Amino acid sequence: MRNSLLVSVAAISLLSAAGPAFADGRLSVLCGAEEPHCAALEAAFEAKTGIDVSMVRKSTGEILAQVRAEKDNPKVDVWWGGTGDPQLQAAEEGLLEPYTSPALPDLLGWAQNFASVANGQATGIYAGALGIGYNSELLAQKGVPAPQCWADLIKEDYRGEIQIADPNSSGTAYTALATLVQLFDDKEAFTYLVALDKNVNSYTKSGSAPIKAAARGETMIGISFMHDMVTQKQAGFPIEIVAPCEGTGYEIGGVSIIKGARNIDNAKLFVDFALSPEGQGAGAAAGMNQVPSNVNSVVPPEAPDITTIKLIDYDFATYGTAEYRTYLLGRFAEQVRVIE
Amino acid sequence: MAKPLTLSAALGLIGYVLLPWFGVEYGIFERDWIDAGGLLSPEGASGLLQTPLAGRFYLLLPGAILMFLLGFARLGKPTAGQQRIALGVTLAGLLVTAAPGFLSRWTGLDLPALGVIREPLGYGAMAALASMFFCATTIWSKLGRGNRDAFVVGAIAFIVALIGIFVFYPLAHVLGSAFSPAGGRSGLESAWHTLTGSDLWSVSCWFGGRACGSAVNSLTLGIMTATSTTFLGLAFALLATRTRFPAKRLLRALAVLPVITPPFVVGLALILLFGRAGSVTQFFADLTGMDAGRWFYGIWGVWLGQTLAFTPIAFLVLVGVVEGVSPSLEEAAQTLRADLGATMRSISLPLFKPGIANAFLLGFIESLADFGNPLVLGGSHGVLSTDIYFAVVGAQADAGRAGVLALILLCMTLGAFHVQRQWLGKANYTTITGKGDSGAHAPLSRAHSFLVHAVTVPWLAFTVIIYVMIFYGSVVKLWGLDHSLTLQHYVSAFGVEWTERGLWWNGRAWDSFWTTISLSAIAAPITAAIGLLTAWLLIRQNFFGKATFEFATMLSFAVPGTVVGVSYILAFNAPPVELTGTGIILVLCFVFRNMPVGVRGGVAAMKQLDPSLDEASLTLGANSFQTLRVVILPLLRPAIVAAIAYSFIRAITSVSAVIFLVTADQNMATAYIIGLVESGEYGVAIAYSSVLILVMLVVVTGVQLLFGKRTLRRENRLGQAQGAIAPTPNQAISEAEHVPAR
Amino acid sequence: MSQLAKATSLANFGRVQFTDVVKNYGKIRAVNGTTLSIDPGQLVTLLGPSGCGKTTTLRMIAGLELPTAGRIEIGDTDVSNLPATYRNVAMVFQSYALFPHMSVLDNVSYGLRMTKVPKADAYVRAEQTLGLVGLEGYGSRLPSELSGGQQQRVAVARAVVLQPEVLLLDEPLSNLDAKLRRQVREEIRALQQRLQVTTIYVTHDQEEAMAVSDRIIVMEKGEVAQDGTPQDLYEHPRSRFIASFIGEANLVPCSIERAANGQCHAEVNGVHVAVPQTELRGEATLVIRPEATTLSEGDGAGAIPATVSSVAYLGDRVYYGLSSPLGQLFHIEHTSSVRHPKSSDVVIRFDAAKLRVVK
Repeated sequence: MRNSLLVSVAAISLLSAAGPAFADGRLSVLCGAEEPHCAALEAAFEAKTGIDVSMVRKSTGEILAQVRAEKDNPKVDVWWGGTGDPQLQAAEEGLLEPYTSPALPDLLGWAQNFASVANGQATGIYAGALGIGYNSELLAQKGVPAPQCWADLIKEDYRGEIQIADPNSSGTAYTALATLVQLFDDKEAFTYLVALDKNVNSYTKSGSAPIKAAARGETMIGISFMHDMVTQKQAGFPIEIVAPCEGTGYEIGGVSIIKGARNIDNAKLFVDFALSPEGQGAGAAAGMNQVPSNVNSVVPPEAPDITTIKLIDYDFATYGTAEYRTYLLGRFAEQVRVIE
Repeated sequence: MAKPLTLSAALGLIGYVLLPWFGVEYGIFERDWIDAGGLLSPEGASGLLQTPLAGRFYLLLPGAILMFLLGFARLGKPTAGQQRIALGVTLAGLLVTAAPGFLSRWTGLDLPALGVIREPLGYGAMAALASMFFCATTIWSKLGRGNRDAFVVGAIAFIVALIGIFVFYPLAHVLGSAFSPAGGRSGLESAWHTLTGSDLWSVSCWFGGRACGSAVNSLTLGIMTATSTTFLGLAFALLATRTRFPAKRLLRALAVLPVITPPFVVGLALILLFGRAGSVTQFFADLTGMDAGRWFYGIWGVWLGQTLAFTPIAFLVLVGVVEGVSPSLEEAAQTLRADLGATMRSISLPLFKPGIANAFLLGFIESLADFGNPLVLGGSHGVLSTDIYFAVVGAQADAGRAGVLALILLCMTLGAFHVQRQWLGKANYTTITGKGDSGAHAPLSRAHSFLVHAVTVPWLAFTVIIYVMIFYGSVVKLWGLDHSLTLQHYVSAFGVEWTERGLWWNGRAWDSFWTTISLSAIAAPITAAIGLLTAWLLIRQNFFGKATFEFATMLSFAVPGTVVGVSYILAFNAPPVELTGTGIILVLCFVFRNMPVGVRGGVAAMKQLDPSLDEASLTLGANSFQTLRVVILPLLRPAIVAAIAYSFIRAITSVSAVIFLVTADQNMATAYIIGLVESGEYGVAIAYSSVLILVMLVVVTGVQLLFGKRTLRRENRLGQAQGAIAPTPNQAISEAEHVPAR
Repeated sequence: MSQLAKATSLANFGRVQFTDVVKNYGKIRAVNGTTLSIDPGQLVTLLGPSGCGKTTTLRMIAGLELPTAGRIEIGDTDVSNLPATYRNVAMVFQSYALFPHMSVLDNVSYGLRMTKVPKADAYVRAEQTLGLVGLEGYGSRLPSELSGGQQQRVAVARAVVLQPEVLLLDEPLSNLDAKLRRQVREEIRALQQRLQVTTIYVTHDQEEAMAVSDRIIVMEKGEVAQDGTPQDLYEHPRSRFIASFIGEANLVPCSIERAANGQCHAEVNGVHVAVPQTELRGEATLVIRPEATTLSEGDGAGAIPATVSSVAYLGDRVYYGLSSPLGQLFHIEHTSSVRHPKSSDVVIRFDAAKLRVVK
């Protein structure tokens, strides 16, 4: 027993050595983006400020659950990345601290708009459009035409070949749901989804899982964000990216400070950094392909060019409310994912 | 009497004077506390200083009670009346110290003058409470008639209190949230609505429908997995004990591997083999010209993944039973004209019944609680454990639904326990053979031997292939696409750089790696200690309510990890006991999740010790604590080592409970690996897992080498000694069990 | 412990007193209202068949069990509720219970070290005590490196080194072979005489009990059946149970009649046998020890005719089975030749003074 205690003491001292030795204050960040993106941003911020950042990557759902659970006594300071929608939810519930970064005027219109929808409690850091990705090898093998529009996806050709995440667990999928409802209308959208359900082989838990499955040939078509598709394509997988002809929705990744954060000053520094060209460059360097929100940021060369995509005027203000979300998800559960 | 009382009261008083009474952000081991003023700040003040610094006069009371106890301890021979008064005062002290916080939490009252405030209790309050608690048990032990050793009474009360706080209190929260009103429905209505939902109980998939309810899926899967793991486990147990299979050491090693494999990893390998693009699926698709489908995702994939993961557990359970059946019974059957096959059917298999029931139960429970395999391999196939997870973290966070699902899961496992008990009845054929029981186990008949080999050898080969693939996956650039060899995943996870500021651990995995190792290393000895203490109480002490006590200690094993995680968040996220976000909650979670293993191990080992050893020590003037320390513990060394090693491994590989409890500061390896898997970084995920496997292997073998050798020799001595003095362990046990008949 | 020793006056040091002691295990009553008293310096045996409560009684003296009701005193102190740790008694266990992970010296000095005797002193005294049992120089060995007899002596040394008020021995010889048993029991008796320590000895072997005891307490079904010196018990059994348990005897159901001359007779199947004076009347048991009978050929007054139904030759003695009007009897002759072959007719004579009648 004495030995193990020694071991653990040694391990703890090593643990504290693992962080940079020049720690100057601390900051706790929940990261909702992909792990490399989180790690790259953490490293860049630590290197610049010397603040000891502890960052954990969780899915946006887990982050929201944690922020809610801890609302009386928050243990985290900053929420960075992931689909912005849950941040709007948190803002609506009053879980976030309003903060107007000096960088705000440098941001693109959609990012500023996002901040105003969130009542200044969250700010847009990147955007990514929803798209259809298919595995070209499987497509050829099956000898079916490549899908070009949302409407194509309900064709018999793609029976059991499509994956999309479950909107109950994934922000990506909720964005898709809201997009379809905005593109068509309520009734039509759900008729479409019921038809699509016949072609869906699996509702995944995570938003980027469908395109990863498509990349590895586990499914032919995945509905995800286009920047995730680019990442797979860059890795060398036979993925082709389609911007649906009817138009498509998009997500805005946000950054926000948790209400009652213990390291509020450091949190503000982090938000400023995350909105700066320098901070936004970290993602591109880590191979991420979202479109950054700062006009001065360098757009990753491989990023899908948002200007060439037919984007809908996504109504964050309406579709971000708890009321609408409950309505859509309830309808989805009752009409699409029915279990008799 | 005076000494333990003085010590306990003095320690409590030290805590009262020197430790912060309320919870301190980041804890007192970080600079933040000192920077904020340490003990001299109102927030960080000790119990004593709370009055001058924060005007909390009510906090003088615990101090006064501790002083009183210190004075009482100096009384040479207190009368029974005085003791009763002291006990009353101490209990009152416990109440006034602990109750206001709970009152504030449950009723929402805010009465700062009486301490009814929402502040978490800190080190000082904990020390004072523990001190008063042990003072109370010490005084109480002296009050009653009977064999009341202060240490025994304290130990029983301590275990009961721990189980109450860390098993029942969180479970009560799950129960509470299950019946909390939601969405305009009353608590009972909404619970009923969830409970009877077709998304839980639909069986339409059996009749060609798309999907079954998740409760039905969980049950089906549990029974399938329990059956397959028990069958395979029995086959391997027979292979290891009743055949001349040449590579038995390899068998044991392979049995350990899945136990120390982090979740998800095997799932990934299975996808590469059996997924739509997997090599096996493709091979058969090419062969038959059929379309390679997604047949693997869903119940079949999860079943295979679980069978791979849990067969070793069944094997370890059954190998003990198969070895434990007295060979003379089998020999007797043979002398009575039964051939080998008939001996197996008529004698051996029926004698394995308790083992088979145990293995089945374990497989069932593990399958119900499993989280990783359904997540990776389940496709749209929902089971309760994943449903609970998404009820908590999904877009519509629904704690009530999570609570109801958790209750269903709990009922299923408890129901399985009950059925197993009913089925076994009083049948217990565990024939722990002493030295006196010579003879050789009957070998398998040719037909049985063929069957066993036909089942086990391919499965063994399959397991080996999986692990080779896993390792391969960690050294290729992009698994499934670019198979050029590289070490980049290891560098990415565990890179170390030498900079002018010193060593920089720039690998991404280091943070969570050290957290995992240190928290597991802290939890392991505590788990073993509490487990063995409980075992000692169960085997060597008699006290009121022992059967209930035993059930309570085993309960946390039946509670699935997901439920534990949810319950801990619900229970410990708010004052007075606020632990979320700390490493402590993870350690506690490990300790109480794995404690039953320590208890079972300790019980088994202690039954082998002749109880007259304890009695000899007692009659020679040692008290029960000294006896435990000087006589029992040294003899239990192998069990202790095993318990520590096992809890260490379980802590490292656990995921279902942990996923709710990790934070930025305290991230665990498994939670981190899930993130890697989710973002498709299979290479790094597998590299990280391989390192963990290696670390656990090194730790387990290291522990064996350091302590194992000495242990073995001692064990031999013990065996010889007992053999020479006639009472074999068997006799010792039967004697111990028949004490009441004397 | 030292307090206890001080509290006891010298005259009562080592006295053990049970008053109405009851011990229940759940619903089972193991000891049923026992009252007994053991004088200082005696070696007393608790004798009885298994399940009679003798081991429970011993464990209550040790403090390993506490009585359900009643009072136990050691010396002048009431120890009824005092656990083993705090009693000044020592026990030798049936299994010896030597700590297998400790050397012989550590085993023997264990009790001293637990009672805070300085380590060096403890070792010196342990070494001396090992000398006492003839094991000097064995201190560094492990229990497993000793023979059974040596282990037994270590167990005794470990107990007596504490100079206990009462020494308890729980079937100490049961794990030794027959030859060694006789030797060791003599050693124990000698040691007890030398140390003058009150010793309570549990056994189910009546021969062993007779050989070592000052006094024997026979127990049956949780109660004391009879209490006395070995000779008392043998010669004046108070019950059929004692008569059959102590020594060998023919037990013949009979009815007791008092003749006009005041003589007592036992009547069995019409045969009258003169017996010593007894208060018993009516239904009783006639106890016929082998030494109360003589066999001869021919016939005579007061002789009972019988036929030899079996003969067992044991070297130094011969067992005869006899068919007689009293029923099947046995007789032992301490000769080394068979004087009455099987099926021969003999007559039995009784030495009336050696016959006993019990209820």
